Amino acid sequence: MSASDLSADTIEIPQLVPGLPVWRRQLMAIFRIELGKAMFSRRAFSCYALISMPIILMTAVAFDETRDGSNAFASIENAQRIFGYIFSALIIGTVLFLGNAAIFTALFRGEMLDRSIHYYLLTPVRREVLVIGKYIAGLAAAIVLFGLCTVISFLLLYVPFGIEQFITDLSNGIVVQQLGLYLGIVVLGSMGYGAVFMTTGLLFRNPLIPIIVVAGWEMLHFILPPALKVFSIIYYIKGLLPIPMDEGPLAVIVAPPPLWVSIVGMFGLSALTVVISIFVLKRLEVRYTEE
Amino acid sequence: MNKAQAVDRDSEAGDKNIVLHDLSKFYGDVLGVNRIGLEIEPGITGLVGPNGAGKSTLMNVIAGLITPTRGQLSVLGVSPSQTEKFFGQLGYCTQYDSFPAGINGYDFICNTLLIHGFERATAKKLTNQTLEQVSLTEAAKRSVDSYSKGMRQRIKLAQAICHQPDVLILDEPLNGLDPMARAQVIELFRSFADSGKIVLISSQILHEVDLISDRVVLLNSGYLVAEGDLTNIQSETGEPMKIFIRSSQAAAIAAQVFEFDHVVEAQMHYDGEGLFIRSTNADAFFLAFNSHVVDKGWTIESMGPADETIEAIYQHLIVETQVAT
Repeated sequence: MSASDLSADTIEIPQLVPGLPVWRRQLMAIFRIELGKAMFSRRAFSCYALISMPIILMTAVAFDETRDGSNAFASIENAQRIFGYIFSALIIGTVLFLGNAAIFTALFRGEMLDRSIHYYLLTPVRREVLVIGKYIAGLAAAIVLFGLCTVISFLLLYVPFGIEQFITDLSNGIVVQQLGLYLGIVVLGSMGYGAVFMTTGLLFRNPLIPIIVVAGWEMLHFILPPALKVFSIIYYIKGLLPIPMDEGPLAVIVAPPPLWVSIVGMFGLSALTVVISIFVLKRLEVRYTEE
Repeated sequence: MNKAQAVDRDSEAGDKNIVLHDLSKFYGDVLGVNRIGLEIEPGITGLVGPNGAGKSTLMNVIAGLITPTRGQLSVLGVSPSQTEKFFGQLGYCTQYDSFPAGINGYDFICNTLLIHGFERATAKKLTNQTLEQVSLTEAAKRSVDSYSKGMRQRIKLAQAICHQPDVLILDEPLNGLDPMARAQVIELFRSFADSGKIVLISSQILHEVDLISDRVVLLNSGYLVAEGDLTNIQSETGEPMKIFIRSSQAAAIAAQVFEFDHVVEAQMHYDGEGLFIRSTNADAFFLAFNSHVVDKGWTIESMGPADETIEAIYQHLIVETQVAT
């Protein structure tokens, strides 16, 4: 580089007038960057480890044979019930919960911990656009990862019964109905947990504390009185399970909410937490020495 | 001038400057900066002070990364609450040596421009131009994690200048740069300043600040100690100014300079053709000395301040104060 190359401005840059076209470009840029981070960076390893768990488990059961040579699933109905348990206990309770905690907590707290949030805050992006962009990117990553995990695990239950059984259930609408509900749970669960963890990531310096608190609350939801159950996310998503699960003798049984309540509830929670996150972000000060 | 005209004039000046009015920042009970009143004009302003003086706090406040506890701030007439306008005109090279994990130099700059809202084609052009400006074109596709200290400093600088801001804030921007890179970067700052932009630089390397700054701001323990151009600060300190006179008649001049009340010291240069004097009133000295030169018929080759450097001022205002306390 010669000294003559040095000049303050060489390319005439266009004036950026704040408004919808600029916000849309900013939103797309944030979405693309954050989606890449959530799915392909080092921080995504924990999510891949989590989603491999039910797939490995379903693979092991699908290829397991009993002493008489029959499959461990015994029948397709039994296989669907076993998958229902695995989905309820492992996918919702562990993969969806911890995976969303990992993805959404990292959106802001992760960048504060690795001291890079200021690069966002120094750009002329509205804090509303930043929060919404990050949230949508986190949600997209969660839906793709955990949705893929659900689809693969679900399809594995058909391995012992062959393609004919799968085609029969597909033509009967069983596959679409059950898989649709499981994926619906993944979407609503990611919306709910994601929104909560994005906000707690902004509010708490130690992200483990809110994760442990929310985990405890969600684990205990089955013994909570009905008035308190409505404050747990799992209440809204478990009602969608195609095969109802027995929650044990101590469970306080309440009727699951209608589908529209689950959907509106998760959208409402997302909107509320996004608004809170915007409010917090607008008052955020970059003081890494305290992190 | 009536009051309305004065307000208009102040407002016009504020639209071109960084204006801090009675600005304080406390971290709980800990003082960051206190009651800073300052107006930073286009050109290069050096921010000088010892560790803990409040330089980074002041820069972070001006850059909108932290909110002042008290007082007002406007940058080119815009307050930090006007996010889009404020950050669109400002570039900040922070002291934090951290980057998004795994990112390469090109994506780091291009992503910054895309988040600004530029279209992809413009962002790519600006990225290439900026990387060339900081001599990182060849290393652009390498991960920033693999960069040397100097390269990391340059990529941070690229991130600050890529959108061609009107205000450039640089926290220790010369750290880790080799002499060649320093010279190039200083030339870049100068070209920014010469195009009517504000460049605010903090540095511990005083002679470099001295070399590149049009004005200096001296901070100590969170307080503004002095600000302005070096001559003004020197005269405001009340310390005798050291003046060097180059003349073949230096000895004759030395014999007579004590006729001026304000001359407190005279010292011959080692070659006998120069004279250092110390005056408590430099302006009065220059005025009286000029008429003396004419009366006596002395030949003067050159004459000027000999200690008008930031180091001298820093020594007087900060180091000596600290030693005294």
